[in-house]
Amino acid sequence: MGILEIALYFGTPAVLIVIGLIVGTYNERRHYRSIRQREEELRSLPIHSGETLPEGFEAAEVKLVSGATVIAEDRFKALLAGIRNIFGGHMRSYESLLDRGRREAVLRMKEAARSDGFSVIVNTRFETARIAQGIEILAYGTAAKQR
Amino acid sequence: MLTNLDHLPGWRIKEHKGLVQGSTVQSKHIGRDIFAGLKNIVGGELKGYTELLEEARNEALRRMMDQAKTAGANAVLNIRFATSTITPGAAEILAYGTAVIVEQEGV
Repeated sequence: MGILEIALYFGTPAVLIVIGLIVGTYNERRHYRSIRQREEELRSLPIHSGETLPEGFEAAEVKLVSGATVIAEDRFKALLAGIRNIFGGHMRSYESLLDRGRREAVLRMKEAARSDGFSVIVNTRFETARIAQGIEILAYGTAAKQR
Repeated sequence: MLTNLDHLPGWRIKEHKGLVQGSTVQSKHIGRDIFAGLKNIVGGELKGYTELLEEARNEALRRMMDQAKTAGANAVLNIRFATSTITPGAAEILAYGTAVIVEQEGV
C-alpha cells in the first residue's frame, strides 16, 4: 500500500468521526435549546401515563394523538458506543440521543393536541423500534377536551 | 372515534365487536436511504423516515378503522401500536384495538 492509500484507509473514517463530533455536538446543543423552550411553552398542557382524567374533568371529546421521530447517531457517538461495548456500563452517548428523541416525540404529540384545541393527554405510551439506520420513537395517548 | 383508553369518557359501551387490526409493511425509498446514510455521519433526525412512518401509521389506522366500520362499530378502544423490522429494508407497522358500539351517556 502506498502512503496515499493508507491515508485514505484510515483518514476517511477519522475525518467522518471528527465531522460527527463537531456537527453532532452542535446539533445536539441546538436541539436541547429548542426542546427546553418548547417544553416551557407547552407546560400548561399536562400529560398523564394513567388512564383517568384529572379530577373534575368532564370530557366533551377525546381523540387519539401521537408524535414520532426517527433519529440517528452520529459517527462520534457510534465510536463511543463501540468503545463502551468493550467495557460495559452506561452508554451516555445513546442516552442523550434517546432522551432527545423521546422528548421531541412528546412535544410533537402535545403540539398535535394543542392545535386541535385539546387540553390534557392521558394514557401516554411509548414505543421504540430500530428501523433501517435509525431509531423510531413514538409517543401516543388520548387527548381530551373540557366540556 | 379512536382512543387508547379502555373506555370512552362520556360514552357507554353498548356492544363489543371484537379485535380489529390494520397493518402496513413499509419499505424504504432508495433516495431517502442514501440521504439517511449521509445523515448518519452527523446524526440527528432522519426526517424522511419520520414522514414515511407517519404515513404508514396513518394507513394502518385507516385499515383498522375500515375493519371496525365493516363490523358495524363506531369506536375503537384500547388502541396499541407496534413497529418491527421484518427484513433489513422494511418495517411493519401494526395498529390494533377493540371495536365497540358506544352510545352517549344519559340518553
